[in-house]
Amino acid sequence: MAADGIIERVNGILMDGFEIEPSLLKDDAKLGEDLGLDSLDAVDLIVAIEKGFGCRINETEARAMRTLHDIYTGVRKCIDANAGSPS
Amino acid sequence: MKPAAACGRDDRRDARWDGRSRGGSVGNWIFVTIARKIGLRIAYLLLLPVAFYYVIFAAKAVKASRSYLWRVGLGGSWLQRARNSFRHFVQFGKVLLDRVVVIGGDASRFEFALDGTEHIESALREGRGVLIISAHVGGWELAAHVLQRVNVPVNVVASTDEAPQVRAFFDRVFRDRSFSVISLDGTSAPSFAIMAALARGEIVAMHGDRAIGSPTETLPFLGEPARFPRGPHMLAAITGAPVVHTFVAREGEFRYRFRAYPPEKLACLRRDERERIVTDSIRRFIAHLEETIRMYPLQWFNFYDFWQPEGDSRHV
Repeated sequence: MAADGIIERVNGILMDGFEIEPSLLKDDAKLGEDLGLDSLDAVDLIVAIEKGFGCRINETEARAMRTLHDIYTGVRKCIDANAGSPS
Repeated sequence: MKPAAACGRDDRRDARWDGRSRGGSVGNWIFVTIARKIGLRIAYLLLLPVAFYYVIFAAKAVKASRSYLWRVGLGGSWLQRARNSFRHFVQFGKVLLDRVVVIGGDASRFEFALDGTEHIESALREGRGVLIISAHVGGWELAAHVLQRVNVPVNVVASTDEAPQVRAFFDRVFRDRSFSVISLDGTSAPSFAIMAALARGEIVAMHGDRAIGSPTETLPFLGEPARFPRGPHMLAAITGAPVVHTFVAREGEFRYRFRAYPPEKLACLRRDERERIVTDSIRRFIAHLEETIRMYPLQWFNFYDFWQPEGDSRHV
């Protein structure tokens, strides 16, 4: 999947599921300070992303995600790992 | 007339309990040493003057104890109330001492009657882990000991606000414990650790009656509005892990009863529907908690102002 596709789908999850204004969805937006997501929202977001992209983000990577850019990168890795693993 | 406290959701974090226990590391060391080296019955005896001291000098704890005991029908004259608070403190002390011995590695003299462990086993078979929601009732920490029998890793979610020397002391006492601790540290890390443990099919035990860094819901409890954490129920709804309400009550010297209720499924990915599902889940938890503490009225241990003060509002 292209980078643009990932960004579009992650942003879609944030707008539809978390009611976040599109204008806030910038690459360097911080999940807590800028988007107002608390720790439960962050778990919720990871679960929604895992469902949406059909892959699993590991705990260490999830904990390290601070910005939207981190999320996009994490999803990219998650998709690549999934594609590389035996079905 | 003061306005009655309203029921509803509250996204503020609950700060009524500061996470620290009394006694300090020296007091804890004395009791732990006596309980382990000399004997639990001697340690129980030593609790009596300590409980008496608390009744006389620990005004906040006494007030909280009386406030709770009155709601479970243990009010009465000044003397009766003082006596009941004394018994309440003694029960609490005995549970803490039992915990030291059981989790410290010597459970052989204790008997555990088990009601409903099959509910946990059946919930585990779903492969999504199990979220146990418990309360500060009886020997709640002994649930982890009982759960060793299901042969699945157990994770207990706990506060780390205890004084560092007290925490270090109990870390040494409990170094052989059979469960892992997920520490609530004010970050999102514990939520991810809980999610990961459930994804591995493990058991995660959380308290449903004390909000530490979690949004709360104000709902009737023993007849009056009180604040309960939404976090455990939210995690169940997000992850899809089955929830089992579990309580461990002290039924006598060296005897406990473990009770687990049938599993519940809260799985709900739609956030707009989740509000109602979580509220209903908290209501069911409160019903089970009330049922339990009416059976064991001296065994609910939250010695702070649990019921929301009147006028403290910002509810929907």
